[in-house]
Amino acid sequence: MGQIRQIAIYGKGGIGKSTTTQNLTAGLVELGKKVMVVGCDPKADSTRLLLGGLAQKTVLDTLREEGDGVVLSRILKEGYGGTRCVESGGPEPGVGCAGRGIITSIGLLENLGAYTEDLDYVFYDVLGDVVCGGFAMPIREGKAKEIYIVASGEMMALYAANNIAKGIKRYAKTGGVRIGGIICNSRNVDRELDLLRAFSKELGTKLLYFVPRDNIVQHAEINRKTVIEYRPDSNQANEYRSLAQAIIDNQDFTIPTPMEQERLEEILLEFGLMNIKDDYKI
Amino acid sequence: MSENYSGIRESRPNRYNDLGSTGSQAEKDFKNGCLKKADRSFAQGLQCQQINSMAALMSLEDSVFIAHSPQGCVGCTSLAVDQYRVGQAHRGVKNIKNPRIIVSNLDQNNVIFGGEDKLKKAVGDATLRYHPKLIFVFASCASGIIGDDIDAILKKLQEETQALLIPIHCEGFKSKICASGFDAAFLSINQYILKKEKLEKKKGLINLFAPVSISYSDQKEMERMLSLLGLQVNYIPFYSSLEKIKEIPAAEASTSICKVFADEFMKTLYEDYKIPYSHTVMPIGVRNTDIWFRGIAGIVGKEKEAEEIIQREHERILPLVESIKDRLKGKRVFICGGTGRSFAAAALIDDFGMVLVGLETPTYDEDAQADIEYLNTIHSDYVIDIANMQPFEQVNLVKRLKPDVFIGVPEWAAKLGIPTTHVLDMKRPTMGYDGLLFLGNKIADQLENPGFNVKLSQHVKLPYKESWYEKDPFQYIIGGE
Repeated sequence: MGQIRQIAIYGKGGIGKSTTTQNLTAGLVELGKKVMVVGCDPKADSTRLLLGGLAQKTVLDTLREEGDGVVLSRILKEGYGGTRCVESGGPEPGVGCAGRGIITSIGLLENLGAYTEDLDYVFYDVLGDVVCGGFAMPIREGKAKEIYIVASGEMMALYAANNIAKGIKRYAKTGGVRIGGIICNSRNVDRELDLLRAFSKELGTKLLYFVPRDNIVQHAEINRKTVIEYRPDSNQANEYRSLAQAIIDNQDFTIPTPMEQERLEEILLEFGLMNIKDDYKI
Repeated sequence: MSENYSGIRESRPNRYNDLGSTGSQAEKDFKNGCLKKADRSFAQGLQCQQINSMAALMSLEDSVFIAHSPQGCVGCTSLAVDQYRVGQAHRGVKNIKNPRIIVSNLDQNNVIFGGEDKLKKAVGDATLRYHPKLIFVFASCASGIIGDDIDAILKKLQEETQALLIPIHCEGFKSKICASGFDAAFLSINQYILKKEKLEKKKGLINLFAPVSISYSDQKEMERMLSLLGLQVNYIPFYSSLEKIKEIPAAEASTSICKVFADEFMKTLYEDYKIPYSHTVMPIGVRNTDIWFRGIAGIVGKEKEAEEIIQREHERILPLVESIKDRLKGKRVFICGGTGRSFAAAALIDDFGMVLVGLETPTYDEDAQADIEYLNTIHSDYVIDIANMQPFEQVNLVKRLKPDVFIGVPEWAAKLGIPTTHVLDMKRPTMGYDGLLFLGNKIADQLENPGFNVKLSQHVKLPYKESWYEKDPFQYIIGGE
């Protein structure tokens, strides 16, 4: 059997982690890969496009309602192209501890034997920022060894990415976790490609793929589908297929070198403003 | 106490929990501002805030105590249960009760989803089972980390609950100074029961704060002494009630048997209710009893009467002390206890002409400095270990210093075969003029009859390797150089 590639996707809240992960998953299954997607966000919306809606019971809801007798079939649902979808779930906003929830549900998935040998890829789609130990769970104890950070040319997205890199560096020392690259989910800001390349280089990694902005993504989401399922012949579908191929081919895994705030702002100044008149059209 | 005081004693400057030194060195370093915060790279179990907050209130009548915590957090309340039962027996209670403790039993799911429902159920069960007047809810590490909003939950439940619901924020990890647990309990009593409402003062009424470790005979001795000054005592919070607590603001003055127990609360009572207080020492030994008595007498303007009483008591007591002194003179002593009591006990041994060789106590601060300054005038050379019960350091020191007598918490020294006398057993007299005689005789009896501890040491082995006893007892105290 081949080793399961376990991959965690991090990035600022709202940057498009779930959208990117699911579209990329659709690209992988088209190529015959077996993929499991584990949503690690209390909102439980990481598998909506693959499942065609939020019909799924989360691991933690099931655990709460059914106690210790949880069986795998109750929490693992099959989605687009045979992908296996799990949502960790979590407490209502403002109560309890979502981080502990992720620790518990990943532990449960392991105990229930969700990681079968026929899997090629497992993706962990993790909530916005690594706010506590629980949200680092997917990259602890030898689970996900590869990490991709979704970012854009916006300042706060890069700031968050840099912060996440600090978390990765911490676990890189003790576990085997490495960063595989930055995925740009474009926001059409000035000189975004140059900026992201420079940022990735400074972070000791590379820009793995630049996903252009296209409204078709929005349309597909409203229809609860990935772009590949919704408009298989569109340009954007091909972009996601290329992203999937880039993930398959990627062999550059490094320990990130997060930067100080000053250096981050220097890069932004250098690429974000130079030679551009004040023109705020988007 | 300012509005913002958090109940965490660390937040006050110049309090130290980790130190190994000598009496004279510590005095010098503290005076010169050379003591620095240190830590232990290895430590054995500490008391936590929650247990002290609970222990402070568990003998209150008509009360239920809810620990909003995993079930293990109430394990150590068994100690307080024992004290409370014995305390009732001594007070002549016929139908001895256990304190009513409910633990909400936070489990893994509650930690993830919040423990609100279990807390509501616990409050409901408390009401149904016991119909109490007071329900105290104690926060825990687990409820603190997940941020259960205990205040809001209780506020809502209060609308439909007859008993007064009182949250106490005593998350165990909040403070390394376990006495913070007392502060947290008193902060809540002020906020939820007393509410800054001033009462008409009752002439001659004194708030006497006492920690759980005070025996009934000590209580009676303190009440006897204060009655000699024509004062009546409101003894709180142990074995008291909602009614007695509500009477706190009516007192003319406050004092405390333990130096540490209610010091912060007495300040609050002064600021919020204009109740003056006396904060001196624990009344153990002739000198400290005199100081304690003069302190409260001074507050109520009875200095002259106090001096007469002290003289009468001395005439009665000192010849008897002298006879005990013959049995104890020159004996070398190691003392271990709470911050108030260990220093008081160190002063007490002076009555019997004993020599201090070692002192272990949890906190070093301004109050401790005052005691050390005094002790240094009598005892020239003794080791101090600022430790919240670190037996591994204690046994190393005791083996090294080879005292004739050990006074304080005796579990470990007894196993080394050294005659031990408990001053924290909560059951027998130690305080005031009469308590001194009992305690002196007890120490002497132990010294003359050490057979039990000697036998014990022959059959019980402490868990440390021989090599540990060769090592520096303070080697795990790091930082603070």
